[in-house]
Formats: sequence, C-alpha cells, structure tokens
Amino acid sequence: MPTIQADKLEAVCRLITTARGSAEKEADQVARNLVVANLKGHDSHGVGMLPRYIKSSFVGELNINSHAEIVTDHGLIVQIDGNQGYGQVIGEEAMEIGIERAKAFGLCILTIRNSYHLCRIGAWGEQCAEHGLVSMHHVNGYGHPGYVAPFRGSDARISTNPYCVVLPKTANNPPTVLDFATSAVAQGKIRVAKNKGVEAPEGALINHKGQPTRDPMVLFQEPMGALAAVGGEAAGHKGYGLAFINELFGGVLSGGHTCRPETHHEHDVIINGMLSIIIDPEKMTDRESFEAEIDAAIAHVTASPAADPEKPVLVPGDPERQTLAERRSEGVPIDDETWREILATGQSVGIEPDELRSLAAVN
Amino acid sequence: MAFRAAQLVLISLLAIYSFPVFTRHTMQIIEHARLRDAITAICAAGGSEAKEARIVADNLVDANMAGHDSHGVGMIPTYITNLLNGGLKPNEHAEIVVDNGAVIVIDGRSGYGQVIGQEAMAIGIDRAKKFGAACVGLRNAHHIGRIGQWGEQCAAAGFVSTHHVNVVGHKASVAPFGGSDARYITNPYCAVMPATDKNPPTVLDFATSFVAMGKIRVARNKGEPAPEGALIDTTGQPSRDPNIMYTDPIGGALNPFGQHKGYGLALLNEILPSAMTGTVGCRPETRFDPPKTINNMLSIIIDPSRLVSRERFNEETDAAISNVKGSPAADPSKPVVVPGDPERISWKKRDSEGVPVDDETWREITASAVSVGMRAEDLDVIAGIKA
Repeated sequence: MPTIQADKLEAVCRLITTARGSAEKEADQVARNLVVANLKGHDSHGVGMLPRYIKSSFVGELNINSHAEIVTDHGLIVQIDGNQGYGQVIGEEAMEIGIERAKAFGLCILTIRNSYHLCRIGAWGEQCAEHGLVSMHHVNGYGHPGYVAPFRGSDARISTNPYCVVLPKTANNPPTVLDFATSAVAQGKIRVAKNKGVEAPEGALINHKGQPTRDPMVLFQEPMGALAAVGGEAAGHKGYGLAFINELFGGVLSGGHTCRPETHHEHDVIINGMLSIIIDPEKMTDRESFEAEIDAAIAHVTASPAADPEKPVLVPGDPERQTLAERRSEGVPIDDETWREILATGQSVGIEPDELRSLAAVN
Repeated sequence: MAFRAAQLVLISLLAIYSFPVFTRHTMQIIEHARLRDAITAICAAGGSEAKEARIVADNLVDANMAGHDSHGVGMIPTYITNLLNGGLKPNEHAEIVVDNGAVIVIDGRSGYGQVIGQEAMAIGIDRAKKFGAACVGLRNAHHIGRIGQWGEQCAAAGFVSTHHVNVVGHKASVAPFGGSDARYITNPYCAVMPATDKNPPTVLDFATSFVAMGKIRVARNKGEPAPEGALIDTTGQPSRDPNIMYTDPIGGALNPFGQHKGYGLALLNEILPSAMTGTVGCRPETRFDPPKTINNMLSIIIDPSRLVSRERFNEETDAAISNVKGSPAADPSKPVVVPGDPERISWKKRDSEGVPVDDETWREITASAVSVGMRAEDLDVIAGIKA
C-alpha cells in the first residue's frame, strides 16, 4: 500500500482533473477537498472517488467547469442548482452565498439541487464556521440504487443521507464538527470486510428477508440485502427517521429529487440535494457568552472518566483532527486497488502511469 | 408550609425516580375529554388562568394520545411540586428579548412550557411568514413537553421545522460515548415536514438516549433486565441492571443511541439551545433552587412555498413516502412506517378506547390535586372514575 504525502496526492488529483478539462481553480478545489477527506481519515470520501468522477464526466453525468446557479432568491432563502457540476465547486460557491446572506440577515436557508457528489459534508459546515457561523446540513443522494433499508423493511430504498452540524471555534476549542451518515456504518466499511473476508460489524447489515446478518456479501451478490440505519434493533427507528427527514429536506425542499427507482440514472452516479441552515450567533447573543457556554459544555462532557483509559471522551471533530495531524506528517495511505484505479483513470485522460508515480513519489 | 413543601418534594422525587415496590398491572382507562377536564381543574386550582390550565392539560393529554406517556399527564406531580415551590411560575408569557427580524430570542420566564412553547412557535410562524424562514431561540421555559407538538404546530401552518432541545435543572441521566457517568439529559431532536394533500405530516421526534428512561422504569418494575446496550455502570461497562439508575448517587447512566453518532447529536442539542440564547446547559453548577425543569430550544421554521411549488412538494414527498413504505416488511405484522405514523395509530386507538393511566400515576396526580386544595373524590368525578 503506497503512502503518499498530501501535497503530492493533491498534485496527482490536480493533474488528472486538469487533463480532463477542469479550469485551474476547479482542479484545485476538487483536489484539495478530496485530499482533506483522506487527511481527516474519511477515505470513503477521499481521492478514491476521483475514478468515479472522471467516469461520470465521460458519460455526460458530471459537467466539468459548471457553477452554482441561483434559481430562487428571497434574500435569506436561496435555492441553487448545481447543474451536475463537481460538488466540490458547487458546494463551496453555494456556501459563499449562504455565508454572505447569513451575515446580512442573521439566518440563511440555502438549498442545493442537482449537484454531483457533495462529498464530505463537514467541509461545508467548516467553511461556514471559518466565518464564525453555526450551520446544519441535511443531505440526500440519488441517481444510484439505494443502499439503506428503512427500519423494519427488507431492501435498500435510500442513500446514506448524512446530517451535519458545525459550531465555530471558540477561545479554547477548535470547531465542533458533527458529520455522520445515517446508516449504521459507511458502505466502505462493508467493502473492507468483504475484501478481508471477515464479518461485517454487528447491526450494520440486513439480508434480503430483513433479518440482521454479518455477511458482507449481501451487498455484493443476489439476493441483495442492505445497510441498516444507525441505532440497531432498539433505536434503528431514530436513525431511519433522520435519514428519511434528510431525504425529504434534501430531495423535496431543494426542488430536486428523492431516491427512488424512477430517479435512478442510467449510469451509477451520485447526485446530492442539500438543505443548509446557516445562522449568525451574534444576531442572538454576544460572541463572548456564546463561546463561554460552548467551552463550559465541552469541558463538562469530556470530564466524564473514560470507560477505557486509552479512549478519552471526545467531541465531534476530534478524531478527524487527530488523523489529520498524523497523516500530515506521515502521509496518506492509499490501498493498492485505489492506487491502480487512479493510475487507470490517469491513462483515460492521457497521463502515463509513470508520470503519476513520479509525481506521487511512488515506486 | 415548609413541611408541605418537603412533602411535595418527596412526592415529586417519587414521581421521577421511584416506582411501586410491588409490580402493579392495574390501571384506569380514562376517556380523553374527561382526562383533559381533570388536568385542567388541577392546573386551575394551582393558580393558572382558565386558558393556561386548558393549554397545559391539552398538551399533556395529547402526548398520552400520541402514546408518549412519559410526556403525558404523569408530568403533573412534577409541575405542581415546582409550582408550589416557586420554580414554575403560572400565567407567564413568552417575552421577546432579542429581535433581529428573522432571528429572535424568547425568554420563557420559567412559565408553563406548554404556554411558552405555543406562544414562541406562534411568533416564529409569524416571522417565517414574513421573512420566509425564522430562527427562534427559546430559553428558560419550564418543561415544554413533547417536542413533536411544536413541530406539529408549525406543520399545521404549512411550515417545515427543526428543533434542538436541552434540559437544565434535572439530574443528568445520559453518558457521553466512551464516558462512564451521566452528564446531561435525553436532549431530544425533532424535525417535521408538513402534510401533503395525501399524506399527514412526517413528524420525527426522538430522545438522543438509547431508550427513554421510562423503559428502564418498566424493566425495573417488572424485575426484568434492561434492554441490551441501554445502560452502563459507574466504570463505563455495559450493565443490564435497571436498579442502578435509582440509587443515590446514581449508579450508572443511559447510553446514547447509535454510539458516537447519537452522542454527537446529543452534545450539539446540549450546546445549541443554550449557547445561542445566552443561557446555560446541564451541569452540576446549573441546578436551580427552588427546583424546576427548564427546557431551552433552538427552532428553525421554514416556509416551503418559497422553495417549491405545492404541486412539486406534494408529488416528491408522496413519492418518497411510497418508496420507503414499499419495502417489504421483515415481519409482516410490522410494516414500514414513516415518522408520525405510530403516534397517529396510538391516537386513533386511545380516542376510541380511552387513555390508560396506571394506578401509581393516578395516585400521584391525585396527591397533586389535593396539594392545590382539590378533593380526591371531586377529581375522580371529573375524570369519570368510579370509586
């Protein structure tokens, strides 16, 4: 498994996206966003996505050099169409608009429809947090078959529909970044279990009869099972409920689509819809008391003695910061299969594998 | 007076933390209209104006109707105790303390959460009509009951809403993921999509704990183990013993639902409603004297008609509902539902059959009625209970 330094990995992504036709800025945005996902430990949303993106661009499902377009504008309510451009570009442009409106009105309700994969949703909350804003993001996905079964159901009907809430940094704490898929685990974890020939985590999967199973093959061969919603048998209705709300908020309020057989695309693509709520806390209270309360609450919960002394209580965003520090110094591990796919993708846009290997300092 | 107050504290503690010594299965079945009248009478005797008494009673009985007995009339003993101790203030109203148009902060002045919540949502709905959306920070309301009701109020006006809620002034019951002691309460999250022409509202409303505290009480009363994964002991290890939640000091804690994900949501619910409204969250130093159960809530209210035509709203929402309900049920007797369906099923059943109120709860309610000067016999007559 090659381990590649972040700047070199970014250069690889930039070269491939540029060769496919992206303008310099777009190539930068895509490369940076993907590599940051790897740095933060979310490999499912990292450079391994690039082969899929480039493939989609060749079948006309991802439009290179597209931009966020405002389709409805009521001041603090803005609706954006992503024109099936790179989610990295659409997301960043949309947030810029949302941030400006939230600063002006105290609140912005921003929707995005018809964006190609918006990738790691935490990135959008973090962008808002850089401007001192609080934000919540409800996301749905379609254009591909469902991955997740409704609670009590027996087949996949919706996507992993993440929910994200981010608080800006305070005097004592970095941003609090909650960003999670509403499925029990990410699909990537099941793929890893399959490749290693081990059982899937308990509570993660159901078989085609809706019964719990630990066999990862149910996601890869008939008869197909599905990912379960987060919460397991006791609380799966909560995770499913949140997944379904995200389906409606992201799919309906955006003026886009929900995930169902009629909205699948011919090629397996990832289209995202998102409802973002962006709030300026200074329109509600003063910055000092806002930060003081965040710090007091974080100090209070993290003081709970750890059940396992090696695993102290964390706040959302901490695990990503730990991995980021590690991988910034040690490099990003890229599994062999992903690296092979990236090299092949390079070839598909006319870049020789040796050029990418040399750029990445991989033998 | 001091003696009476002490007695009431005891009643309240029993209501919250205790349970019958012997397993009891007997209960009253009370017609909901009569239950509303009985609770209205108690609140009125406690000093509430007629309108307030009715609002509180309707809110609590509606929670029972929806099947959420933990937020139903069983709350009355706590309310009356807090009322007589001066923690809960009758006849208070929502006060706007920060007004930036679409973004407002409302203070509940320790008034009945049922009244404050309804008034706060009415103000929020009004602002959302004007601006297209509103962000309402509500602080310092006494217990605001079942949060789904506030989402339903917005939905009745045709609006989408989300609600992040924390609880202050109450003993902590939920541990952070990876921790070993309780640090906050069950901090609910609620999100509601209004009705289409074909489908009723989608009402998501859940506690971020693994299960509600009521389920632990039921397990203990029945002498059964707690649900697997629900509890930890004071070393942070899994426990199935429901008794640990009833010792003093508390011998364990509820886990969050969904491990780190549910914990993350619980923590954001803990922080948002306090930090955004200039108040405090659940910590040892934020207990109140006299005691009261305070809720803070951050609500976002959105007018969907600014975003999508009614026709598209109906079409896409209905299609999404049909899609998930089309998944064949793993157990044919338990079909796939959408959030809000279980509550509607319960409502229909209890509307025709009456509301079950267990004997212990009714005894506590009766004691509360007596504490505000009612006669137990009169309460039974209003509720239609035969001696």
